Amino acid sequence: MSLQNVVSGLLLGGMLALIGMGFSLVWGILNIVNLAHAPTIMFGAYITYYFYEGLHIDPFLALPITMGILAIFGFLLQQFLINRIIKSTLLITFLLTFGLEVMFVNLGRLIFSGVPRTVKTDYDSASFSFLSAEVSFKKLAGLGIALILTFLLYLFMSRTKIGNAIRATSMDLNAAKLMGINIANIYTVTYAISAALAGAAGALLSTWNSFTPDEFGKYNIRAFAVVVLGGLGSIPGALIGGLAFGFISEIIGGLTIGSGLDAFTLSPWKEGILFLSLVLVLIIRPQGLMGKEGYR
Amino acid sequence: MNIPNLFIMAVAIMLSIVASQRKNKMLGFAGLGVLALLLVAAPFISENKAPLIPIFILGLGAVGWNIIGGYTGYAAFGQVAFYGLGAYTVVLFGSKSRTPLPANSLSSIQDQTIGWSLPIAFILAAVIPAIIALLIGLPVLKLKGHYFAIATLGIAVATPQVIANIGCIGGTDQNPGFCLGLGTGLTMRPLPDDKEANLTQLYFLGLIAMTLAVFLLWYISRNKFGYGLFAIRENEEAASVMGVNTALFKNAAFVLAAALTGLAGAIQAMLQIQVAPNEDSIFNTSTSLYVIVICLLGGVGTVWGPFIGTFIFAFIREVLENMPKWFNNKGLIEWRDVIFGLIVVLMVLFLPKGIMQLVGNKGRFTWKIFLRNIRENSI
Repeated sequence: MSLQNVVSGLLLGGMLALIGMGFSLVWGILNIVNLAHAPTIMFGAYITYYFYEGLHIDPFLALPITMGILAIFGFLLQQFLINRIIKSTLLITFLLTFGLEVMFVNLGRLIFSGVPRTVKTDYDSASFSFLSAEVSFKKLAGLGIALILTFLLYLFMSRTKIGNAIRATSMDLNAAKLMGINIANIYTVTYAISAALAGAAGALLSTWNSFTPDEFGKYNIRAFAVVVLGGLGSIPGALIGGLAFGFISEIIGGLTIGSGLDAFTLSPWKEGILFLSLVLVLIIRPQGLMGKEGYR
Repeated sequence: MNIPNLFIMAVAIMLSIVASQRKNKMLGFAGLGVLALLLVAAPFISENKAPLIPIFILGLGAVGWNIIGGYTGYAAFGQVAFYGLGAYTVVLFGSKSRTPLPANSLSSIQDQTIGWSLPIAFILAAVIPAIIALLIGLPVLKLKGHYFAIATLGIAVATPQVIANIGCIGGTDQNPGFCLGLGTGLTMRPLPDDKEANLTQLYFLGLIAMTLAVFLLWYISRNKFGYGLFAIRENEEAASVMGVNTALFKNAAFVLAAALTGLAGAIQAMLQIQVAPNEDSIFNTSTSLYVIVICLLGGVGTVWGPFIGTFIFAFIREVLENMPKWFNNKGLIEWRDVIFGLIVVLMVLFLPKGIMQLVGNKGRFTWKIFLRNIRENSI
């Protein structure tokens, strides 16, 4: 374990927090575990790629456009599809999002092809050294944007009328209805926000490494982990959960016990340990490490 | 004879729908009889036996899932863990060890297997996943709803990694007891050379296991254990108050499901050359979802649901596999999974209670069923 691990854990954690936040919103408020979240991240990455390749727009400048496009996508999806089965059982809603995931990922394979794509800007490899660690500028900017979006979402939820209505809906559905809140609209807005956040995550991720449509599936289960660690529907929780997950996975990855030939690294155990500890957290503290169940 | 599998599957769907009708007992029994004849004859009249065996593999998994997911209402999304464990068990215990290698050769430990007789290996392939399900179930079944679903999903992701990292169990370093493949997988060589005869045997193994499993499902649905499970599904607190030992019942359902799924994995392992602890081999996460989709197609929580759903699923898969060949268009293979996803979405939207809902309407078909389903669930 070194400072480098801590820094990359922090950078990864910011991204996971951004992904987990959108996931957590939909889960906490619509009570849907949204497997279509990962393909939405994929769409975000590819939209950024096409903006960069086709129109030569910088990925960070294209970010608001990407978010806007995916917000519209989320709006339509929720309005015309998910709202049609929202009163159904847990199993049915889960299967719907599973069907959507399979459909979108394979459409992605068809449209974008399996060729690895990269968004390589002029400042791609620019970095500075902080004590003994190398920090890349693009990843740091990604962390900054993730933090800004978290803060904006927090303000939106606590200061605006729609935000308050969303919180009221998650606290008590029937009371919210009696107060004159249109639940269908609240669901649509929530899903659109979640899709926009996923799009932002995809746009930022596209600058990190080369990517193919198959690569994004893993973010669903990571988003799960973040939400479970942070507590359902909580925005600060998602931030803490994301950072915690990033740290743990980087530190386990870099941990070595003993030295020389007998050295034993934990990195092949990384995913296994992560998910077993996730299950343990679920059993011991189902409300997450932060706070209580439901939106706060 | 060379009858296309597609035709066999289509006839099996219709016959099983006829057999599942309770209104006319005579017709039901006649349907069941003809269905039994068809399934026994299938490997001899089919043009290609290989696609018929996976029907029963996924069918067994679906019956298992129906006990925990359909009857008990606990949406287990990680059945592939038990499927893979079953496959691993049968290879580990059933596969013959290769020729003895020098004791100090490091590469030799990759092929260490135990080589007991196959029937014992098959029994172990049900028992070992069941024991592990018991150990997992005791803590995990305390969770509810989404949390349970995710915990099982997490276990399904972790299981292959644990297997890949354990390496060898027992024995000394030079001469280990047996090895789990050290990440590269175990090679399967228990079958003699005559492939066609073996496929027929495997087909009948699958058919018998599936028949017994459906019979078990039927038996559970009409005794105290089944009623207890239904009570848990409807309202767990109320069931507990009425004297149902919920912890015991839930665990028993989970263990039964794991045993059946393990058996399914064992049969699948016989069709493969190698099992490896990763997503591309036996631990493919979509298997967990296929068994649920099968139950959804036929009707979740019903006796006939997994059975009918299995044939519908096999039919859809066969059509999607053959589509590029029929239209002489390679590009269609890319569309296969898109269409699979679309079918799931449309099923969930229009027929969430399965295909039986169409037949249940006194044999008459109306578009109103679809609209009613949408109206019921939309906000």
